[in-house]
Amino acid sequence: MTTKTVSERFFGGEEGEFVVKEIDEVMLHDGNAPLIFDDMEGEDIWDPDRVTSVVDHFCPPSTVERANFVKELRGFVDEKGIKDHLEFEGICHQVMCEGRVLPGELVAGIDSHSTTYGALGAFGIGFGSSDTVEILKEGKIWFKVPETIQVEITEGENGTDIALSMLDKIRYDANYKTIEFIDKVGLKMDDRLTVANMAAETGAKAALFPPDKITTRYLEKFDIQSEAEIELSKEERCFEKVDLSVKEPLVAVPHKPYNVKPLSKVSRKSIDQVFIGSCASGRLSDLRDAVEILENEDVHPDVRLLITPASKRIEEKALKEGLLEKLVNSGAIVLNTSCGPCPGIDKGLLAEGETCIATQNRNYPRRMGPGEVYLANAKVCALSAIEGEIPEEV
Amino acid sequence: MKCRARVFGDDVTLDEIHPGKYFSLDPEKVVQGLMAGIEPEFYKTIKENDVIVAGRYFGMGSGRESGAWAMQLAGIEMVIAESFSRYMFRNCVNRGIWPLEVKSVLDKVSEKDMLEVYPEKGSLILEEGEELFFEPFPPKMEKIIKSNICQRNDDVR
Repeated sequence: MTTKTVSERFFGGEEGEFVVKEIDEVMLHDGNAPLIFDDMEGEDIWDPDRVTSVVDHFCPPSTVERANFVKELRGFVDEKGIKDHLEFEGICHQVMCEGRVLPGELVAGIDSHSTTYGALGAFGIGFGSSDTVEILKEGKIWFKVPETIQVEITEGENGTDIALSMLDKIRYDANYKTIEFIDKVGLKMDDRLTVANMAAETGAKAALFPPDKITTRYLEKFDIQSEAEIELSKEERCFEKVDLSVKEPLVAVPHKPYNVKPLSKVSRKSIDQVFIGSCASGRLSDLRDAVEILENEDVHPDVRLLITPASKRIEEKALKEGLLEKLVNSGAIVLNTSCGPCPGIDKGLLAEGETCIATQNRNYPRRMGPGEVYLANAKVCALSAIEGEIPEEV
Repeated sequence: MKCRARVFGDDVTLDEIHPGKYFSLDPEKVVQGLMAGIEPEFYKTIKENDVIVAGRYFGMGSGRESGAWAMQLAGIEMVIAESFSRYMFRNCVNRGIWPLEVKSVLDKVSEKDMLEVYPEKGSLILEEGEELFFEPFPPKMEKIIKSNICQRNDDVR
């Protein structure tokens, strides 16, 4: 008997084979859900209890058209019997990982960063709107069984730096594949969430951290006991294997997330905006890192520092811990939990010629407006906010 | 079919194929966004039988289906690229647009070249007559593209 890869075992077919597989959970958000309303008219959802609906893109809406999308989503949710509808509760991928997604599940999200659920050992896979309509009606969808690539993390502790190192090495060559992480470092869950989230930029279909003690401890916070295990694919299957050893902070320079350089090799570029947030970041460890740099310091007068906690739960913890007070005292603008500036939706777009450094996952041309975006960890971003330019070291 | 190539480069992002500010349910607004991140008002220049030709990893980034929808609205029936993001690939299939993966196509095709493309045969004939070959879709996938959404699970079985 040949040794099957994790993906072959999970999907029940050989690499490249087309299979149909049942979905355990679905995530909808206001940014893409409007595209399914027409096709779902008169249709029942196969199991509304497996669907979570999140308002995070237009939250709160900045135009009447967007206000209508959100209103229609509320109507949709009522009509279809979806009980788990969240507004102002957090960014979709974060709230999905706060007691919803379980290890070993197949979770279909209407968003490309659904790979995030792999931090918990779930196959988190993103879909467009037509596929999502099919999933909502049937509870299943077709897949091509993905190939495998393994990423071994041997040094480093910051999720953003590890993710940038992964992008530097893989670029988008994980397209259509499953990434299996071998975490030799024992990353904190916050950092795993960042790495699995940014795995989307490699093109990966899914990105899995096999559940371990760190997963178990994290899930216990949400009263979840899980004993799911994932046995990694065996090396005799001859897939690509990449080692990541991160020794210094990294920066993705404009305009692609894989244009990665060590911080020390990036020129001291003047900065107009700093953003710590998005579904790639804005978790407690990022906020703590920012405070470590910003406490008793002031944001540079020419810089606006924008911070969005990844969820309301995180915001409340950060309040209790005194993190937000310290950040505000330093001159940070704390925005409500939402997607905000990252995809250029609202609150923090760039003018022509302006530059932003952000903890987010994408720095594509014109994504945040006509300016340019650098990607880096929360400490580098916080120090940039103080100095008004990208620092040489942290 | 005979078609005219509209050529873009490598690593074209979905944010360029369909910038977020064109996100809407109004087909007129959606079609205006097509390729607007690279060439504003591109949609006005589209003629019947225009196809998009691009390099590696066409549609990287977001999974918003607005990009494929805008192509569908503009009457684009094929996208020929060296590779696709999985979102762009699936969204094209679901919108009845052929996402054809053809090696080194970007090196061989220039803007407004006339091409002959036969997706079922896996054949692309360049303006000067050279024929490029690509892997045709399995019949089940072909059926999905031609049926343009729905009954997909049944087709794959």
